[in-house]
Amino acid sequence: MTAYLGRRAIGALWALIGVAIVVFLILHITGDPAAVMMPPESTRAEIDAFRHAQGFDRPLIVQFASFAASAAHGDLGLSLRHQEPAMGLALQRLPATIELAGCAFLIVALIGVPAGVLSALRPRTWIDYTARVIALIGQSAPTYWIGLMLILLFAVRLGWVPASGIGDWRNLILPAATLGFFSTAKIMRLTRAAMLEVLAADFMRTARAKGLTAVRVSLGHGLRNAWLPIVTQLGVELGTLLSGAIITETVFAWPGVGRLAVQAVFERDFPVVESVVLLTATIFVVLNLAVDLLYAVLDPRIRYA
Amino acid sequence: MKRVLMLLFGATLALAPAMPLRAADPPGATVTISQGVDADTLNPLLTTITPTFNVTDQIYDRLADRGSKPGELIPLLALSWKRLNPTTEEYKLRHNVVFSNGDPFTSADVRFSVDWIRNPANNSKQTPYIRDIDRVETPDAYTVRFISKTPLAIPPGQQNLFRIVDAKYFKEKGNAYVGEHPIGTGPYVLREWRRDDQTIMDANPKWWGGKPKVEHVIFKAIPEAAARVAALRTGATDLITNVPSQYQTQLAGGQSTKLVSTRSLRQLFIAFNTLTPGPQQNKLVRQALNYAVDVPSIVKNVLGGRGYELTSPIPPNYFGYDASVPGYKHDVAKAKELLAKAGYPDGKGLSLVVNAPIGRYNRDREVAEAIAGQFKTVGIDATVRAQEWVSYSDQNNRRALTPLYELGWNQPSADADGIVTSLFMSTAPLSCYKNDEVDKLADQARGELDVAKRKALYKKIALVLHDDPPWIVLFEYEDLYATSKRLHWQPRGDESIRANEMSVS
Amino acid sequence: MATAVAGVPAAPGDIEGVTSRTASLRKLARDPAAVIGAVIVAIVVVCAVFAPLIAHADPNAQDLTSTLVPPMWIAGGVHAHPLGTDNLGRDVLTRIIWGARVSAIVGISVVIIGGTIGVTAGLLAGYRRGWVDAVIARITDVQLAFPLVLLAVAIVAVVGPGLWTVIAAIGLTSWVQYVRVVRAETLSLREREFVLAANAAGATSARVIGRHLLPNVASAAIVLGTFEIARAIVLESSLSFLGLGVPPTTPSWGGMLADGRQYLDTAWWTALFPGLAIMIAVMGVNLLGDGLRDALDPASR
Repeated sequence: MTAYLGRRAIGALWALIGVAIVVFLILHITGDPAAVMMPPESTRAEIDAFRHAQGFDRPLIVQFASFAASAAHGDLGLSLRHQEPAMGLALQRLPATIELAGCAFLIVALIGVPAGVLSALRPRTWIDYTARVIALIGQSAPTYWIGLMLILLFAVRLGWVPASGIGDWRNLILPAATLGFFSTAKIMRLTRAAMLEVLAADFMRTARAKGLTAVRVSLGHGLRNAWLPIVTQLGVELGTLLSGAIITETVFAWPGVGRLAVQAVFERDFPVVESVVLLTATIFVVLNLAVDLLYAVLDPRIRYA
Repeated sequence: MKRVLMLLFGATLALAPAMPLRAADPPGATVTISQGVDADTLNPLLTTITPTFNVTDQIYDRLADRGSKPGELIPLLALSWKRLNPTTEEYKLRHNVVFSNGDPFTSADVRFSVDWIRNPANNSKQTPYIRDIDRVETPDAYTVRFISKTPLAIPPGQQNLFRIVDAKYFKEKGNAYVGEHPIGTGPYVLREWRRDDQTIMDANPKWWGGKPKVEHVIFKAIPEAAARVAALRTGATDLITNVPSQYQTQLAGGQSTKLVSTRSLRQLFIAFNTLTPGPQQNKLVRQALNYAVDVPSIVKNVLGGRGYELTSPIPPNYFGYDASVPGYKHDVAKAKELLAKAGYPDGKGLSLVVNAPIGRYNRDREVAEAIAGQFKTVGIDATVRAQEWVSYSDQNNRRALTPLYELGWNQPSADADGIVTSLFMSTAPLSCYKNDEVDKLADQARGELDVAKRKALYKKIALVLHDDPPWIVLFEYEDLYATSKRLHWQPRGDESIRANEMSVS
Repeated sequence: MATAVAGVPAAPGDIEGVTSRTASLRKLARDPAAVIGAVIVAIVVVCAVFAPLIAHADPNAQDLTSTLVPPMWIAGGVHAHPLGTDNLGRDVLTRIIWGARVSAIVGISVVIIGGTIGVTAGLLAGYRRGWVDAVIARITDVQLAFPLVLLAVAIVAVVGPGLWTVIAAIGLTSWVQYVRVVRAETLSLREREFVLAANAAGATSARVIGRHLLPNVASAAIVLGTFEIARAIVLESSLSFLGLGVPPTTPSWGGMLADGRQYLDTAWWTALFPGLAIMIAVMGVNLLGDGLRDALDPASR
């Protein structure tokens, strides 16, 4: 078990190093942002001076070496736009992203799982069909469009909640619902499928034959045997929610990591893009590691050599 | 199993921070201002972005401020200024001014601010603001002299007025810290800055200008236009910028909202890239295209009437404007005649691309589309190539946008010098135009200290630019703001917002 | 390639594959959800191919005198513009029909790029194992750790927007799913009798992979490919929505939505209909994918 974990951790570390290399190459291969950063009335010499101060006039390999050396210490340089430590800016936005992803996760877990169970217990009824149609919509509609339509209806037309920004719980409802919709649909379908499989299994028939009530059978025996893949998937979804809030945060002007990333990409603020990518990749990798661990702890049948 | 699920939920709850509690508002009038974006930094010497300045200018002062007339300056931290000789401008500073941390304001702070911008280690993007200042002298604590290398019509340091920071504080705390914790001499002090959310400021009790009528100012960025309008209507904000014209009737007639507007110093134009080969190098084609465009129709249909047709690149609200310089009026017959003379009868053989940015200027792409449509009416095949701003400005800097490209320009000094030097002199990085006479006249005008002679030189330049057009001259915008009815405020043409000029009823 | 090596039994997957696939198609045709999905997909493809014949020839035809005209069933609407016009007076329906092109091209190209890379890598990793598997596994780990949307956004923003940049950016994020599935299938197949026999008879690796392994992983790859089409369509529209998609003169659903969101309050139709188009198209692909999975690969349920 420990050996397995160690192997996985080393693998994760390699993956993060790979991510750092890839993001550096993608950003730096097409030139530098000096000209875009300076005001329009700048002269060539003023732009070149800025370029030199940032070190963009050095050969790519030298730039990479210095990037790698400081990145190893967790220092990704100063943001070109804000002139503050780039990783600090990314970490500053993390609480907002966690708040949003956490709420979306509650929606996923508290709506997705029960809806899936219900749907499986009452197959081919209106409950089942309604749930499945909603799940299909959730899996098919683009996140940002759902967000825009929610804004149009609940913020612009009805005026019940603010259209964007962070604040109290009213600001949180629409973005959390938008972000959680896709994952809710996924969890719901997974729960339904897992439950149907278990309900069809032999021991369920035995249980029913023993005269246990339908509800007790389904919830007691059914869920107990179907929950392993569900919990695993919930863990994966939490990682996706934390790293996938880019578009939702942009639509709702939510001051999180994802919105910072989009702004930084648009402004060619390379150190900030690199920081955000590494931060989200780390969260994602660590969460996946945790899910594996959870899986190992929960399922005694699995033995790791 | 139940325990594990509980654990999982518990962990999520623990991760999510507690809902922020709304602190009880202190007494006094509060005004909330919503621009499209938040400030980049609260260090006023770093960037050149208007929304950032609108936040930092509540906290920091400059030596002087722009007045409503071209070239007019109103004393702020400087009380008076005069030219000692053709290359030296001397400023007498206001006494007994303190920074909000109690540090006294002296000439050393002015000098430090210039040096800070100039120091490459600070990565300031304001280096163009101080490029004319060769040296700064501080004969005493309340006198500053800016010295330029050559005589300049616009004194060094006045092309773009920079902000003054506390030298002692900057040196003590370092760049990263001062970017988030501003200390200035201005009308407001920072209470709290939550990035990409809101910036809260309170009136500065130590401000030399007295007590502002509005005691608390909140800048709350709202990127989407529709969301800004909704926020104003629900009372969540008091002032919104960049109101799309389709909302004007709704907001003007609103129960609690009103529309305020002003003529902007920003003009939009279509430039010809005469440095790359193509039909746009032919003067006759450029003249014809100027005749082909119906500016009043664009102002009416695309801007909802919120714009002012221009006849020359030097607009009436700038120093250097001369009403006798002729313009191009919409004239399809004349356009066709000139095109035939240039060898393109009925526009045959002419295929033009109009480059345009997306979302940089009000209705930028729509205007380009409308112009391409009007080119079609004189027989020219025209298409629009629109791109998001960063890749667009990147190509613009490399002079790679061709044959036609759209650009907007706003010169806060309201002086023809900025337009001519940055956009028409062949040495300027943004210029895709070369006319030896313009180069010569522009150089002369820059160093001409006699106001009347300088004005005459800009008239000459405008006449050359009419005959050998570098642009299709279009219009100046009317900047649209909307406010709550309780707010009293007059907007300015340079897009800046000053909370100390506001009052509420 | 077609000549059978003497003494080697034909791969059972081939023959059984053919018969089982006919059966699968029959099964698919009996699944009402899958049929609905297939019909939606067919409509989108027809729109994409025959756009100039179905709708106006020029999707960019603008009329600045009739901008933001509402749909025809609302007061102020006209029959000439059934779904209304946008901020430049362009017909929304026309642009939606033309917009099917971008979605179809992106969906298909991404599957070809991602599928080719992913299936090849998966087959190689599973069949060769050893260092090949290890290298591919490392690259896969990197790709999986990368936030996908952010990767696509960064690539397009840096390289510059355009149809082929978008396709390449999405294609390069989609191969990794195939690797996982194909590698797992290959690992179990390579121990099967017909593969071992082919190996023993001295068939080259290329032949074993191409003739014996590929046909047997095809079902799983096709099912996955369908879902990847859906994902590509959504991701393309998201990029266009962020201003990083195809040039605005090429009508695309995401681009229309991006334009329309400025007019959310005053002209909701410019944002509602393109979004509905995306949702219905993606739903069609998803329904078809569900049906294919049930029909081709019942074990995976």
